[in-house]
Amino acid sequence: MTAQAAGAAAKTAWKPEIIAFCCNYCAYAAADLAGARRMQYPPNIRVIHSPCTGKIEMEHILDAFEKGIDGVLVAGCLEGGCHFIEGNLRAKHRIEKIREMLEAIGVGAERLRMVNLSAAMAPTFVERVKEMVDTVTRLGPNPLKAAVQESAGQK
Amino acid sequence: MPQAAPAERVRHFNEIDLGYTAEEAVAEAKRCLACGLCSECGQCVKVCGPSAIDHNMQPTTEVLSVGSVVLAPGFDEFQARERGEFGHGRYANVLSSIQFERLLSAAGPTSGEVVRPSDRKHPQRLAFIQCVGSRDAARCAGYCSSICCMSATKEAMVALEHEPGLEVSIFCMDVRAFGKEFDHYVSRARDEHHVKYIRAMPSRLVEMPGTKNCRVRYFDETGQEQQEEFDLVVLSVGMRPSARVRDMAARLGVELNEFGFCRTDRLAPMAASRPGIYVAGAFQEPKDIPESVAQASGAAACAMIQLGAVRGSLIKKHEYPWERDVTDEEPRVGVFICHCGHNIASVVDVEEVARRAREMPNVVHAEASLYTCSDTNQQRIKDLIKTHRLNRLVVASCTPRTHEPLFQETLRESGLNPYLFAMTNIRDQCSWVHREDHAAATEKAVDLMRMAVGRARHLKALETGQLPVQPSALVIGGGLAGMTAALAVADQGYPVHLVEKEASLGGNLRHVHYALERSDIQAFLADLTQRVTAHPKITTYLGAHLAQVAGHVGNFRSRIEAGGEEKPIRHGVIIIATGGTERETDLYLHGKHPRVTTQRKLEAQLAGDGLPDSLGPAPTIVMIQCVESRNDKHPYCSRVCCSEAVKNALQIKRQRPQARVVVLAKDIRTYGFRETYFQKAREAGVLFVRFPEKQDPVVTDEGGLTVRVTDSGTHRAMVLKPDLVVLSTGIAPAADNPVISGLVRTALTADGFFLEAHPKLRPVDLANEGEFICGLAHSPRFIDETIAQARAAAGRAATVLSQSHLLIPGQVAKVNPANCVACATCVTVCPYGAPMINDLKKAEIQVAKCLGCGSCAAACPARTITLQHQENRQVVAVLDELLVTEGGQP
Repeated sequence: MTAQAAGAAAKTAWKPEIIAFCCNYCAYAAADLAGARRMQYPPNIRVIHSPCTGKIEMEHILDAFEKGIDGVLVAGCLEGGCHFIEGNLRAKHRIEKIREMLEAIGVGAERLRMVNLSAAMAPTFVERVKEMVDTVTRLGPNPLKAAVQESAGQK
Repeated sequence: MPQAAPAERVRHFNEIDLGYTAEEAVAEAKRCLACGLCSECGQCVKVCGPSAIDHNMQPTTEVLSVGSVVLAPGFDEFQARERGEFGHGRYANVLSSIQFERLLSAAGPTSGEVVRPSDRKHPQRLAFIQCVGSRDAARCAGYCSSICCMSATKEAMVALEHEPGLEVSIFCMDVRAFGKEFDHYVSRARDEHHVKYIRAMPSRLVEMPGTKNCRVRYFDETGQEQQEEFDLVVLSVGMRPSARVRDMAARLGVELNEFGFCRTDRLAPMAASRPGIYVAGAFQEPKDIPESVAQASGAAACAMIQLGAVRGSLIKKHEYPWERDVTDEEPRVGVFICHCGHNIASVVDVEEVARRAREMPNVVHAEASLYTCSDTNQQRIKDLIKTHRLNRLVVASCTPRTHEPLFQETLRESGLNPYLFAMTNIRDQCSWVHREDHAAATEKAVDLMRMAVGRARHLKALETGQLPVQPSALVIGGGLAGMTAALAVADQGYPVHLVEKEASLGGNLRHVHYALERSDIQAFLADLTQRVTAHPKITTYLGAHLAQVAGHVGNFRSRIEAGGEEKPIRHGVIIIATGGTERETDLYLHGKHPRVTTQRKLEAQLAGDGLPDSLGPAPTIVMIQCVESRNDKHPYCSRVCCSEAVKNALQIKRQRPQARVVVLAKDIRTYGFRETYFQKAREAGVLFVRFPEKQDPVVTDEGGLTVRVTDSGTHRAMVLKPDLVVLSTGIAPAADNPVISGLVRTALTADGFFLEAHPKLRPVDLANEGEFICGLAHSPRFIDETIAQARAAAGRAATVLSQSHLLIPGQVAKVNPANCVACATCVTVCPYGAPMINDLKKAEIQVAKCLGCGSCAAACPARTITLQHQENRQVVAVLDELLVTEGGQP
């Protein structure tokens, strides 16, 4: 197989990998409810269970992008409805900052999104997941992944 | 099965049943175990793996010996069919409020889409008709069901969320939004979402042939006849006593009231007529969720008072084996993949997931099982922990929100710390939501399993700390709420410190002389005060106030200041019962005209010497409602004033039958059984005049006292020349609420009352553990509601006080002091006041206050706070397992 053909094959085989950090009291419960109601969504998403979006540290999101994740969804309670009062508002602030950084380094702010939902809002959860998958599919693979692979190949 | 056509059956005896084709036979066989009706073939018994089916089970009678009984049988809904004129059951697009609630539910028949039954179209115009089966003496329901005004408003708001632009009209007699923050909600519905509240009772509905719309005919507030068509009509059905409780009540020897609800006294709202039997919820009187929850906690407190002496005597303490120290062991992970019957295994190749688990470093054992949570499998896990000397457990199955505690229990029973466990959800987040793509679902399940194993390798045993509990309570406020709470705590056997700022106990109750149903309130108060002062376990501090509160649930250290001296006390819980005050007013010439008074002063007069003779035998007395309530300055409803006015009006009519009493109100909110007194007042000739919102009456003194008001019934201006004007001033929150909320670090509502942890489900808890509220500190309320809430607070307090030690979960924050620069970011971000700067000028987490949210860990600029069980390397391990391939490359 020529290198070009391999590249094309890799491109068609590529499926976006997305992580969703879900807070325990709302988003994780909404994801569970989506399951209980057998709502179907793309399988590209891997949920990480977090006590509160206010606990999600900036390093971990940046770490995920550095290691090649294509998109990250941070899902917390509705504004004003955070189980821990204001955790989701602090998360919102952090996500905004990281989005600026991602934009600045060429990864793209769109790859990271914070969403707010209540435990009953399974349809919203599913919708946001689909939107994220669409967005990331449109953007293509995380450019950092190729860069890291390339530098590894040169060694 | 196909059969030969009759024409082909002539002149032979061949089989007329033609038999199945291969496909039909297979389809037929598949019907087995998809029984519509049970034919008792017994196949299910054989098929059920855990042998959970037993067709020969018989009902058994168990005899229990108990010290007290709590009745909470709930209520039935009024059958809307009984009001035939509204066409429920006949007209396709008429639903009961219960049916509509179901329609709005995301888990309902239309997944929450609002469609009308006749043609499944989205309605444009929606009407609610209130009081269907409530406030209806003709149907033995002369009471108000209390909840329907708000539930209709809520259903309207939810429907509007689904269908923006929907036009909603609510037909009602009054808008009874008397609960905490309810008027704010109604205002939002009305002003922001344009929900129309129409003061009219339609007499019938007519279904339009063709469109199946419903036409409503009613008289509007100007007296004009109106006809409107609606696409969908919802009947707000009232609460009925449950039909089955009548027998139960007879068996238990419990009296019911005239409507079939449990008979109770306003001064003992949880006590049924038979001693030792307590009641909670709508069985006692129609009520909403927070009142039901509070009353249930109150009933529990009543039961606990009875059982105080034998508390804990029937409890068997579970002994766990000694916990194995695994700190120095290499991780030895056991992985269990659940089929969940067909739920997971029909989509995910669970054997493949187990196989992939076995390939992972540190995984010593991996297997798939039919139901990982079954008893037999728990035993198998325990055995495997022993044989393989496992020290970490991973379960890939359903949601940890329901099943994590079960597996953690298995770990504890195997001598392992419960935090050495990682669970991942390959059902709700995998097989159920990716049903069409088995390969992708399996690949995802493998990823999720790997992520959990990655996390498991780095899990640490955590100590679940124990804190000794100081088994005593601090009660702030010596009014009805405070005294009732203090007694209910002390009667359970715990010492109480009762702090009252005034020189005597009693609070606002000192100004209440009679209630609608009772005339002996002052005797009740005297008895209550006597029982409090004589109680050996209650220490009362009069003329005292709280100076300082330190510590946390189970172990507070406070200082009480009285007479210039400060006394330190220790206690396990705080109950806030700071009460409220009568709202002061200078409206309507109050304070300027001698014949303008307040309900409180009038009540004192009526209970004392009676109305002055100078008013003559037939005075005209005008009562004005919502003075300083439900206005721009104080937008909330004070809840009690309507019934107070009815109470005093009836008392006036008793004393001066010739008196003309006119009550001017926006709504009459005599909810529950108090409605019957509103009825009695009208029968006694008391006149109720409704005035429109924002058009308050005007009182002037021009040629004698004059009241001008617009009657919203006729839309005409009325001029009254009363001999006496009585103002129903509202209830204001206690002036020192801000100080006390500062001391205990809790929030107040915009109206100045204490903010509970959850408005519906935790109505007497504050956000901080071990702190409770009751009475007017929570919101305006009646005597019976205050008693219920005060006992509820005592019941909730006992959940702390009855424990010798409090368990502190392991998932709490921890500071590494080496890097701490005492910037106090953690102190600022923590909503619970858990971090503090200690004597060494380092941050320290008071673990009893920590709820494990991790806000401080994420905010710490020095990255020196760790939320245990959510440590940095545990999270990174999860990411690595997903994103970094074996070669160490992404």
